[in-house]
Amino acid sequence: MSETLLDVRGLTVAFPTHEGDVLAVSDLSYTLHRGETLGIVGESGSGKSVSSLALMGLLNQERTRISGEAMFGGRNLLSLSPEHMREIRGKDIAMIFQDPFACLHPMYRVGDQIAEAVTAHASVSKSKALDRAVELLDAVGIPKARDRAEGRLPSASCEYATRAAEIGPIDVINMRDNARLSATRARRPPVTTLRAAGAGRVCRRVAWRALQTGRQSIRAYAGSVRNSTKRSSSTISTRMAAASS
Amino acid sequence: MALYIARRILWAGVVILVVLMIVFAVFYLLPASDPALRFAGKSPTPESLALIRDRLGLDEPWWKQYGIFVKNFVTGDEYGWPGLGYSFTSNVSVLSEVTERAPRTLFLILGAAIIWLVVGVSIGVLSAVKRQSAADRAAMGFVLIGISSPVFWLGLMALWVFWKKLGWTAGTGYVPLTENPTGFLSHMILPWCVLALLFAAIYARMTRNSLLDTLGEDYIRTARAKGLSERTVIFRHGLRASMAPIITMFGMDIALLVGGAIITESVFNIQGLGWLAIDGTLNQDLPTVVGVVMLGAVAVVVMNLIVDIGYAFLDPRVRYE
Repeated sequence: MSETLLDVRGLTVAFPTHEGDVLAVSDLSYTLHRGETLGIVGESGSGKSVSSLALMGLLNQERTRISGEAMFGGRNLLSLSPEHMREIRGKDIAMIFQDPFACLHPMYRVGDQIAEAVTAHASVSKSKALDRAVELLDAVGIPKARDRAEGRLPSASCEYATRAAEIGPIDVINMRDNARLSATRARRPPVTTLRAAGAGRVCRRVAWRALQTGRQSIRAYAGSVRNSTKRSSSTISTRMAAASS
Repeated sequence: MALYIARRILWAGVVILVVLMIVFAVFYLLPASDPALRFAGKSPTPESLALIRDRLGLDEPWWKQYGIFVKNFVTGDEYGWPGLGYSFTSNVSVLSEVTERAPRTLFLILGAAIIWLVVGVSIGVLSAVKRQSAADRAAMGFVLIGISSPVFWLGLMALWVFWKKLGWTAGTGYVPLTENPTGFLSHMILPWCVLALLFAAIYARMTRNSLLDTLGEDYIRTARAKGLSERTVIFRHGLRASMAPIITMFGMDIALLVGGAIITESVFNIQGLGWLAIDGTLNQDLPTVVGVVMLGAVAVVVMNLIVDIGYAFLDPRVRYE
């Protein structure tokens, strides 16, 4: 059995409103081992993104209530201080968001934005970081990476660029029907994929492979797990919980 | 970038010509009476009327008059550049009056602008970042007070408290910076603060709203997801994207104030451009009024040009449009 990378136990996310709490994720548990890919599938509002955002500490602390635990490298992600969480984000756990055009800052060059992720976690010079950014763009198959990184060519493949920016042991990849995605992909249901290190090259079909090959997937519905597939060596425990809303 | 700037400058030139055309029409063509009579001031003599007709080309067709008007303004007249004509009421060139008055207004605007930008933007950022906190509520209270206080009342109260009662500052009037720097500061500090308060309040609210909008954007979440510090996220990613409306407003506000921060100038007896315009109106000194109006209009165009160029530096997308 391979090393456990992420162990989520009883993750519950609620948004307090004037009319009571809205339960977005209810008692979600799963385990991710090194080298695995986990797909979380579900319709809109089923809590795929929210559960992943909660792990990343990217939900507004004041407007959400998060409980449960998520052990990562011996630490509980859900109780880490903002500063410790910041060190993990973008280095150990990265997230690739679903709308690449909205996810890149419109006023900075793509290269600088990727380089920023490099300098945030390592003391390297700006030019070194930019070189690394170009390398990453190259690695995900962007032609003329340097020209695009330095703003001489438009950064057409923004999605690849965001993907290049986020490289760590765990990538959370958000995919869903989106007007900007290709026609073939638009027919597929939305999915959030957690990809652990060593699960293969980052590619846009990762989530689909995961589902089709059935390595490991969770089907989410209204904040709870409906069912999960358990194949190969992975284990996943499922706790059913009725959505209260 | 160079192409963008060149195009903007060209456009500004065209707009200035149109603006001059409107000013010309308002003061030369639209009134029914003899223009020379109106330009001559309160006690016209046949000689001065003849002189004005000759100088302004009033016997020529209107488009020739406009030509003379534009040529004087653009290339200057015998009193220097830009040519604003001669005031027959005070018997000096309008340009010399303007150059005497302009520094007062410009110093007033400059000082106030620095204060309101620093105060307004910092309060706005603070209350956006600490949203719903006590600091945010206090800041929004300040905004309400700043927006609702009339400048003339605030100016008089400030004078009463800080000059009359406490004696901390000098009173009304103006001391040139070159003659007496401390006197200059002592005289200017109240007008600066009073003028800045209203604008600081508006800018604080605008910065807060704009920054809150920006902080909800997806690319801010991306910035956080990269593990950037909160300071970098807010100042580098958030503030830059939310500066556009503030820069637009800033350009317009400065330009409008050049045309006359009239109330502030009156309360503190600074006698700048606004005072010059009012004084000209009361004394039927039309050339002076025309001169100040033209400068005010040109200031609007020039500030717009600066704002447009500022945009291009701030947001690279603008350059490719």
